Amino acid sequence: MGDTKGFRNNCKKVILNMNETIDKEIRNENLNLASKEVKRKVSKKNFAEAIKEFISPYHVSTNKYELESASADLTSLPSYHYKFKKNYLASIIVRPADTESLSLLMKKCWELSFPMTIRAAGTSCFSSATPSKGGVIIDMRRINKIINIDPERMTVRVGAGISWLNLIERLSDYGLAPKAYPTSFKTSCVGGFIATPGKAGIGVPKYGTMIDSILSLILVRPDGKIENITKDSKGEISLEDIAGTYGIYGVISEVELSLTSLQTSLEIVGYGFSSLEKAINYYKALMREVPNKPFFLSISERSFEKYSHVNFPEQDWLVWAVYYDNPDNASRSVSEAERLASNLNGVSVDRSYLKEKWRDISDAEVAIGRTSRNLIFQEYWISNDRLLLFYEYYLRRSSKYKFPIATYTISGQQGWSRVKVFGLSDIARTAEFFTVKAFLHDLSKQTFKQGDSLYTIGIVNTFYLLKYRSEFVNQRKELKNKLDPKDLLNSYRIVKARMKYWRISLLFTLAKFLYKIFNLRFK
Amino acid sequence: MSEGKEKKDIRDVITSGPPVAGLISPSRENLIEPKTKEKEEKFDYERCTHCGYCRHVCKVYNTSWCETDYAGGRNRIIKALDRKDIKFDKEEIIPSIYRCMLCGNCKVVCPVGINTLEVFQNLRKAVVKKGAMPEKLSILRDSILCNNNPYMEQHVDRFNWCEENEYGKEAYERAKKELAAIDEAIAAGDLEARKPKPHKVGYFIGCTSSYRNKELVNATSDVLGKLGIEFVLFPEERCCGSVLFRTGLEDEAMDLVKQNYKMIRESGVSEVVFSCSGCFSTFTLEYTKFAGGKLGFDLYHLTQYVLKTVKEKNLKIRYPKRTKDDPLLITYHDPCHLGRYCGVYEEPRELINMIEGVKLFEMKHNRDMSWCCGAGGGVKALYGDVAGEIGRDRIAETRTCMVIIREDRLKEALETNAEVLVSSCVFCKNNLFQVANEDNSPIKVMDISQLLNECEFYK
Ligand SMILES: Cc1cc2nc3c(=O)[nH]c(=O)nc-3n(C[C@H](O)[C@H](O)[C@H](O)COP(=O)(O)OP(=O)(O)OC[C@H]3O[C@@H](n4cnc5c(N)ncnc54)[C@H](O)[C@@H]3O)c2cc1C
Ligand code: SF4
Ligand code: SF4
Repeated sequence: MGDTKGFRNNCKKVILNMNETIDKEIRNENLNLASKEVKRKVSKKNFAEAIKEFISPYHVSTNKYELESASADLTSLPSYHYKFKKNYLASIIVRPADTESLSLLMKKCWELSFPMTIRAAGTSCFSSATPSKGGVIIDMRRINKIINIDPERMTVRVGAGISWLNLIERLSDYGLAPKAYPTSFKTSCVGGFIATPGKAGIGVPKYGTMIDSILSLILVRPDGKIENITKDSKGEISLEDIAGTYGIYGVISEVELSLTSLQTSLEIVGYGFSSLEKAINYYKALMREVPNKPFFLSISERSFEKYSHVNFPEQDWLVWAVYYDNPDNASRSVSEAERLASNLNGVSVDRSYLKEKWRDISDAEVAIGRTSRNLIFQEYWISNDRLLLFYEYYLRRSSKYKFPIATYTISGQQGWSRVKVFGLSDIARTAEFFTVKAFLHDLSKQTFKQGDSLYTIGIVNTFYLLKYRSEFVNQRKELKNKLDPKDLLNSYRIVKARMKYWRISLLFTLAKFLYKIFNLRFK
Repeated sequence: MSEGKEKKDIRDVITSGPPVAGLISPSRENLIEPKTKEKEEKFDYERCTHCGYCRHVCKVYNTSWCETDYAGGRNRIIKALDRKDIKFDKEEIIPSIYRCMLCGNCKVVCPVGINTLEVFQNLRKAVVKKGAMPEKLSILRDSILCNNNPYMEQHVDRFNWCEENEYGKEAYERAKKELAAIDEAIAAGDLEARKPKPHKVGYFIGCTSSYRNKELVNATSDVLGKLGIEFVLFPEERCCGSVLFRTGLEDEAMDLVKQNYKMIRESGVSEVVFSCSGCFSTFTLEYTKFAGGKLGFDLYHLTQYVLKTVKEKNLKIRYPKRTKDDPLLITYHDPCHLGRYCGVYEEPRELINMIEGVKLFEMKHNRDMSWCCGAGGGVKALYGDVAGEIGRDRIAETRTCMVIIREDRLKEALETNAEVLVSSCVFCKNNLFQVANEDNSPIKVMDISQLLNECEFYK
């Protein structure tokens, strides 16, 4: 046993070397970029000054602490990752206040070939909103005005940087509410939900995905040109191109949304199941068989509840739904949901537990961080028809590891679900950290193999698309090359990857191998 | 469960979760304790997930839009400094450390339960040790160390206000007399003379009321006097040290703590009343810690003490300028130091609700989700411009609140004559008063001591 420490260090070294090789490749590419940077430097010096002509100096910052803070997101990465990521630090942050100044800023960047990264609240993870080539961070949060609320038409026009919470609070004064928004609504922004999938969350099962409620939007293209795009736009870019493509085609600056009205009744039903199959059948039945769709629908594993709650339902799986409707519809839905549950031997869950879960729904995915130093996770976009297959694979794989694992699913629309899997660990424990990543990687491979996909792509997951969805990538590439041939705006998302699939695969295989030996030797 | 059946009002239905969950603090009862060992508390930032949920409550962030100004962004910097990913730069780091009001709202909403206040106060301590301190802060520090107050006023002038206040003057002279008597008794061998006497009340004034806001010290003395409380002042009173504690100068504050603590212990009082929420929270937290958890005397904020007295003496309270049918409409602003720091939310409300001729309406953000007025954590002193903006917002919210109240009043065909924003902290009062004044706001801002002083207490 005296050798344990030495062995651990060796494991760590092998993984670090592996990682170093990957970093080197990225660094070489950065060197090429850097030589181009030198040419730009002269103009860069004047860049900050030039943009201060149309953006308040207070909102143009090169403070190194601010750059550090704004160049990151929730993604848990160990420190050496951050060191390599240093190449990805922005060199300036700009917070434009309106479409015009945003357009002027982007024109300037285009002219000087400065890379640009769009940042809203940075909650989408997987480095979606962090720089990949340094350059300028365009912080959208000041473009946050409510331009117009039309209670008659039930529409609202807003700056894309408005947080959902602010929008929701203002609309409630008019008896109105957005149709769909993410559970991160306390901080995430309208533009961010449009640019990420926007396909699962609060209101989605009932009213449809984010794109369904967009009537029109203003897009500032990578070259700074302003374009108004509506549902029926026939131009070069359509709403479908913009939704879920991580800002690679332009910055959404204003959005017109259709709304719903506030409802008068809120009902919650929840049942515990010991059988996974029954739980999934119930979950699917709530979407398919109850006449009024739930406002929110979720399925979670017992361990997910356990890692954040003192008291929690005993059964292995919890399925719960929220009906937000008029009183008649809501109570009809509840009766139907109760009938379905009794057919499947569901055990009714304490109402106060469900009420609290709904009250703090935004915290659910984060609160399990009370149990661990760091949250490491992946999000899978699974067809409800293959949900059981995915979960069975998940259970088989997770039984092999000792670190805490949990899963939590929320419903999208039309038979799809976002399954989130967490590994609770500490990034300081390198070997374990990489094994958690390897476990999530195995689930990703299974996801694609069974015909499904990942939910959030960002920078970190793009290499999966290149490997498994090349046709889709090529389609997207065509438009990207047209609009942004120099790949200045939000580069390394969807159409071009930072990392190579085979290298990552090798790294994770090695990590699992080491974990296995480590476990065998020291159990 | 049917919220719809239980509560008909549409606003009640929506406030039990989304759509309008942002106004309520997350419930904690059934959540497991965060994985923070007590000795690790100052390293709690390591657990920050950077979820950003503390952004929406951070008034500084919502004014500056700067990523380093909210808790998650600041935690990111601490992590980067720890890992040596970023160099420590005395000048450049100052705004990210000091542009925080230490209002504690981020602590209330943090899903992983990080004690952000502890983390940020420790961070300030650490950077001060490394020589990073805003220039204005060093002026404040020097003044406190030389003059026992941050306003560069002479220590001997601390009780000048007593000259014009009958109750204050009596309390000051009473204190002097009693201290002399204790000294005499001790000299005569009565070693018990310094022991706290039951119900002997002291009033700790604080620097701001002593030198700048004499209206508060006058109102408080009058209220205590009118209630028949024979209180004493502390002629040796010095700055409580709050500013130093909040700005990372804890070592410098300790002398003041020792002196004030000794002074109170030697005066023989068993109850100490505060009109300043800043002093009250410093005694509740730092002084109590210094005394090993037991001070040897009880602490009361004025609102708590008046409530206790009114109940004990079976008194009623009336606001004579208005009637039950035509009450003065007021809204109450929770000071961070009284609310989030000390958990005093209900006593001020209970007291206000007891006053005949006054009606209390809540602002949207209240109790532990109350917005900070903008004056805390040294932000007012160091970044007055930011504080002004935040204060303006709080007033705007009050106005919206008043508009709703007015609409309700209109519905009932009654007339509103006045609107008042009441707080129970001299800093909140000052900041909000200043903004209301500058903006020519129709809302009158006053401290609760002033409101109470305009009231009558009767059997
Ligand atoms: C606790 C938690 C809960 C979550 N719940 C959900 C959920 O229920 N459903 C769900 O789908 N996701 C969820 N997410 C993921 C994330 O919150 C959402 O994707 C959210 O919509 C991102 O918004 P944001 O403002 O943080 O955008 P960011 O993360 O800042 O940006 C996301 C991407 O969009 C781009 N972008 C941002 N603004 C614009 C713009 N104006 N124009 C063009 N591109 C832009 C960015 O460059 C980036 O690529 C959750 C995340 C967390 C941490
Ligand atoms: S709410 Fe807590 S975990 Fe989230 S960013 Fe703020 S401090 Fe970090
Ligand atoms: S203590 Fe208040 S001002 Fe400071 S970061 Fe937290 S919410 Fe913002």
